Amino acid sequence: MATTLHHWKSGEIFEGNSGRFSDVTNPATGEITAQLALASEDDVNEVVAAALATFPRWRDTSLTKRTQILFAFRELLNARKKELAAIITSEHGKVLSDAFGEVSRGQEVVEFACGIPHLLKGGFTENASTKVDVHSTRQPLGVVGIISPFNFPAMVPMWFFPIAIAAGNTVVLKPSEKVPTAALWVAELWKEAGLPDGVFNVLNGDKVAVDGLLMHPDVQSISFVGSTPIARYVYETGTTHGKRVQALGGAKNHMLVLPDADLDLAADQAVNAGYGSAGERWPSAISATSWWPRSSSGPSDCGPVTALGAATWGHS
Amino acid sequence: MGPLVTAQAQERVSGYIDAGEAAGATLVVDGREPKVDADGEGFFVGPTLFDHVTTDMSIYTDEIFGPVLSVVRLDTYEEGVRLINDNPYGNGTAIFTNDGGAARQFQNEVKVGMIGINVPVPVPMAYYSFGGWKNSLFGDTHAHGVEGLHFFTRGKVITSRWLDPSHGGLNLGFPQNA
Repeated sequence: MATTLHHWKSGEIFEGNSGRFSDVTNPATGEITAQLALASEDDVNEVVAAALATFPRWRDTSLTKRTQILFAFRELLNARKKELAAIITSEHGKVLSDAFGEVSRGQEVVEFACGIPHLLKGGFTENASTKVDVHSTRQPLGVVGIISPFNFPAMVPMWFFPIAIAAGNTVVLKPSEKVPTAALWVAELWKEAGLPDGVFNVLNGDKVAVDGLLMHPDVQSISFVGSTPIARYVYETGTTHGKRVQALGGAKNHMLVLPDADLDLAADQAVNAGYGSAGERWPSAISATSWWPRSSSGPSDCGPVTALGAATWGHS
Repeated sequence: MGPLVTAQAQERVSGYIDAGEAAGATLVVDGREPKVDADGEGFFVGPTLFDHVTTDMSIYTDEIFGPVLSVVRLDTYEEGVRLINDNPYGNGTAIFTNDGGAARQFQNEVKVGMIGINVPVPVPMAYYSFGGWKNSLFGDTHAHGVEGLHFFTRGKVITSRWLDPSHGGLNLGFPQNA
């Protein structure tokens, strides 16, 4: 029998009350590996309430203490990132080296966030008017929502939550329902690193959870990565409800190959960009030109790209 | 390489390969029935390469999100830049050249958020910010780096005066600096 995965609230598993579940699969074998609880509106409200209740205490925790917790999280992540990579491979399907690479890129944002005291320094102007001083500061927003896609179960959430937490916010992360385990693993790691319960929460679910976060009056911001139609919906709905929103959408990334390029390099890199992670990371098109005004080289025929494409096929 | 994430994704990507073939692109490598060494019924599509793709084909216009590369042949650099700037997305792009002037002109004139020069996937370092232009990002700040910090904080400016014993009097005019 497959395991059941729930939410994470106030430092522990939270089962919720929806009674709705979806299948989590191993894409390499097609096997169902878990049943995932899908949040109800009540579940959304409970998780947001927990994050809100924790906010004043976390906001007022000293920068020294917050930074120490970030360093502890970084050390634990660095020591155990192979576990996280294996989880990503089992639910997303990308190969282990690719999963490990994604965790490492996410870790770099944790390392950036370890410098939070310097980043939060404000400016000070003495005697701007006679005996009047002016200074600036940056303060956390409160409860922030993160809605992340299936293609980077660890890295994309890590683009956001290390900085959000370091700055003094409390987080509700809604991971993709296809790849929920990475977020729950990260939640346990934060607890081990000494993060107070309720600062980092995980809400699993579908559109009910997404809409719940987008419309909740106590959620101050939404960070989203996904397809363009949904990004537009998230932006419009979130801003209508008074939130700060960053909604990253789709792409068609062109690679322009000029005739003077190193075609072997270009071909290798096209294979890397187009086929790594089964094409689920950097949607690409190659445009090869035969003429560039500054160059006297002859026409390019994309020969090496086609040849390498064929070779990769043979090894797959 | 690994499988796609779900059976639906596998079907969608295979559908795009069918569509590219029907539209007349040259299918150089076909990944629809890959030989795999995994057990069970995984959601695999092999690497697929189309040549002679035109900009009206769905394999060019749509975000396929699968291992399908399309080669569009162009005559000039200007056509390449026009293609990129006419695209509704503006996430990332790359130029491959040994001409520094060409690369410099390209980085300046493409309407895209992240540019690679002989680098295919120019995902910025953590201390810069990840984000595209046009339909690739809705909002005002990119992810992580200083823009990320700004997103997750609100600015506040404090103007303060500690009164001398000599202070006194009211002034209803707009505060001016003295």
